Amino acid sequence: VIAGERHTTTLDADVCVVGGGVAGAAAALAARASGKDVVLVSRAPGATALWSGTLDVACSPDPAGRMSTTDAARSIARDFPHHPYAKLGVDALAEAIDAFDPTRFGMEGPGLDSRPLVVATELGALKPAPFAARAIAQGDLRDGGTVAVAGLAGYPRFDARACAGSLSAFGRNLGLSFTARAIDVALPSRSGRDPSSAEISRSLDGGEAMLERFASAIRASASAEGASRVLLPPVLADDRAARVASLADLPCGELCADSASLFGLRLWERIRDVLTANGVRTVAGAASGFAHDGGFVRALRLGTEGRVSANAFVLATGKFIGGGVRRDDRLRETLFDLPIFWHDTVVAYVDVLKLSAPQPWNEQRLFACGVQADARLRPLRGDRRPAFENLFAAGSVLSGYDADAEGSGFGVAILTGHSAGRFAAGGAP
Amino acid sequence: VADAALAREVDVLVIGGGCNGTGVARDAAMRGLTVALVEKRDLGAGTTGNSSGMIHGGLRYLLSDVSVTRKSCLDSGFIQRIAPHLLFRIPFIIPVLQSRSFAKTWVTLFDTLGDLYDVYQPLKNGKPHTRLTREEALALEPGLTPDIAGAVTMDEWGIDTYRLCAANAVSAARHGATILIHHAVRGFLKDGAGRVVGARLEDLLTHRSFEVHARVVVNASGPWAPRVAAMAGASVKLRPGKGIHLVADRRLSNMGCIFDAIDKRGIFVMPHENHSIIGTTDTDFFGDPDDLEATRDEVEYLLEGTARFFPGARDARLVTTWAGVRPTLYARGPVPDALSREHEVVDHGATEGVAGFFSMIGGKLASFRLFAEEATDRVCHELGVSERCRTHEEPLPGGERPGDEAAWRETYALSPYTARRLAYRHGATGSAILAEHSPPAGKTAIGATPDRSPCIVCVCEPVTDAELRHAIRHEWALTLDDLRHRTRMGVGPCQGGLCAVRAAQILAEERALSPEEMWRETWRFHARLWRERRPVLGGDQLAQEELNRSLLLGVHRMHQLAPHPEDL
Repeated sequence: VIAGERHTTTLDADVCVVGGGVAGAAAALAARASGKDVVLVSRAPGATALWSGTLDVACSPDPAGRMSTTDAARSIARDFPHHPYAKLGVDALAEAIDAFDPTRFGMEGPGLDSRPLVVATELGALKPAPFAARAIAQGDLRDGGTVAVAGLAGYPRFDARACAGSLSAFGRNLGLSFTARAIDVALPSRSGRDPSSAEISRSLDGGEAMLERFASAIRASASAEGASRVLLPPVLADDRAARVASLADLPCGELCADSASLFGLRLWERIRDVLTANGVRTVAGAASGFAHDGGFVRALRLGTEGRVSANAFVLATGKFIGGGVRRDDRLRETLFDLPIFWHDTVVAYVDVLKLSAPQPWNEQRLFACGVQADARLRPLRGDRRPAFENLFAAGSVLSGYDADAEGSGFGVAILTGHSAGRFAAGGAP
Repeated sequence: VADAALAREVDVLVIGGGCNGTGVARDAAMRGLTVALVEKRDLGAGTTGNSSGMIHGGLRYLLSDVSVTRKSCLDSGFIQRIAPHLLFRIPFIIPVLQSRSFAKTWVTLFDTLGDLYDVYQPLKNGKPHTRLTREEALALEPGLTPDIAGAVTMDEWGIDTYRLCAANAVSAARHGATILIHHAVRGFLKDGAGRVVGARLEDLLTHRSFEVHARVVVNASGPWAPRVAAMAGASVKLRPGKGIHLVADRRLSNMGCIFDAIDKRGIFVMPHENHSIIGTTDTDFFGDPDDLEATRDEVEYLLEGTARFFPGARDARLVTTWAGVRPTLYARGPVPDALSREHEVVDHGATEGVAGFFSMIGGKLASFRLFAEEATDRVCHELGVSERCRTHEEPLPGGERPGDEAAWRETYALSPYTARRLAYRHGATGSAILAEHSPPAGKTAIGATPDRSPCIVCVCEPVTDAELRHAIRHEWALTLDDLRHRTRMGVGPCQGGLCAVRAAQILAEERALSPEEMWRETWRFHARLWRERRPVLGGDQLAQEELNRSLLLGVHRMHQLAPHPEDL
């Protein structure tokens, strides 16, 4: 769906949300929960559909996750006064995540107040997470023991030996007590040469007998290593991972995906389902402009002739992946042409060499910039006044946080999405 | 192996692994001399790899020094003979803007220049030039602005510069040379009479130091030549010029296109492998050649000039930049563009009493072989050796015959493009690369393809694990950056975001690196690529950057888990 396409939809709503990722979904659900009629406009699967499988709220300074997620979020709020956690408060974060309810999106975990899960990634790294896709949560490494990392014969993109070696080294450094060993498991089906994870997944569509063969191969290899838990590359669906675990009579978890994965696609589908089940009307289309008067946004233009009129709007269009922010001759917000801030400075024309640090692991202003919002999440103009009375912003289009460095991506998306939805509905935060 | 070979004195120690250094090492080794080559980073990693990668005939010298044009065309023909697989034809178009005064006269002028150039084209298998009407030019190159009066075409050749250096080095090694990359010269050894008789080297990966004794030292370190000479108590004077290129993720044009920038300098956009490159600048450089970065002004200068002829250039998805320094001969007065591209071998024994020490200064990629021949002649004269040069006759490794693409596709189930690419990069050697492909002895291949056929590691190009293992085992690759140079792994739009760790796992397996070393190497690689592309971060590419950052930091928490390299 592209901006210039013919689009004749004309809709009226109380609240219109632009952007169908986690932030937009949280906003739509919050506005809906306040009894409002909500339309959500979504152009395409964005960053949310690239999800790797954990709900990141705040990574503690200790990657083994001995600090609760709430405490880690409080420490972010303390250190960064521009951060949404500081502006809206960590109590509001807990409330927003409760309202969002990760379990209805296929996630589980101990939640914010307990020690988070410690999960492993496909490339052999470890990270804490308060919630994760069910199959990943099954691979929790807090308890120690011997873990078998399953390499699949015929799936050369995943190197189980390197993954297990790396997990062992990181686990040792972090004082975790598990031992990781690589095992070799035959796939019950062929899926061509050099298949992708999705192709492997499809090749396992052969019914119960095929899963039984797979499970018994896993069980045989794992017990030869004395493993009490198995980690698989992310090639099974959640329900299927649970089925394989039960057939193998061993806890089987999946690893966090490295890139475009089944988890992201599943989450994308679940968001659609949850929105529909809650009565949010979703429209596929690209916002191509807007109408305003008297300091209020009145309508959003879709494609060539489509139009959504509403009393309030939520901008949840993401950053560079989502297309909410772009840098061509200058940095700008793409729909309302709002100025892009880093901290309190407008950075539209700043040399990109000054917005980026020479080392990739250092702070990069380019990825922490975005629109600046007031206490009610209304984006500001260059003169620091709200651009419109009834426009609210949520998720990674906002400035003031570095999702990847802090491990706060979905936490901020849910907190700001939920809050923006409530503000847009006219209620208190 | 290297230690045993270097315990005895060598005839020639070559400093620098660019086209000149590897060219001399090959030539000297083929003439029966014992040779060691030392390079502080990687083969081709300096000026050579950051050049426009053209084996051209020197059209621009036609009016000033026709002998340069003739020599360039002749040597270009020789390079095609020895490495036919590595050259790719680049037809060029020179459009003239309608709005230019005397536009038609300019087309006629370029047409006449083409007539002169055609005399030398047969030397390098070049096709004669053509004169195009406005309509013909726009049909061939629809991306051009409609505001053109006409155009002239000419024929040139491009090359993968890193493969050229690697092929030279492999050939030198087959003739007995020792190749040391990631080794720096820390000082020179002299005898009582002040003659240079060797050098102290440091292995930059292990920080071990040792001495190599040599009868003659050749300083082929390009822009670093003044520093290297100073260590020997000799002096080299250059007028270094910085040149940058912008790299787009796809072909922007069908042909190479030459046009003038805001200051009337000639710049170009041209297809290069899977990409297009826009180049180049030429500015006096007074900085540190180890610390190069394109600036916003340089990027804008190239985009402004290109967009005038190619309106779509501003929408191009730029993935990175190349920055290099030309080791141009010293002259005071001319603007950098007007400096001579001639080369010179300096015998520091004759000029300043530092015997046994020669410097190669100036020169250009297209005539590297000739320059190497001249330098080797001087070395042979010094050593009393009368063997003649054969580097223009004997094929470079892989150039003996074309790669057997059909058989590779059949036997190893390669995609047509993977096979084509392997044949281009390796020629006949592709067969050995595929046949040898296997994990190291004693390791079961968990997750390997059942029939051992190679798998794709870098999907942008695509690069197979077989090529990576070959580069590590037979082409000295020690780091991910070396693998990038040998194979183009990580040069595509994802800039290693999807393949660097997988490649690092293979490197770790081949070199028995610990997980900590593997991750540190991954950081080092990302840090280098990040620095190169920072000046063009923008447009659609930023979505990729956000994804890369989210994988490395958000998913894998690498900034918290893995040690950062201290020495970058």
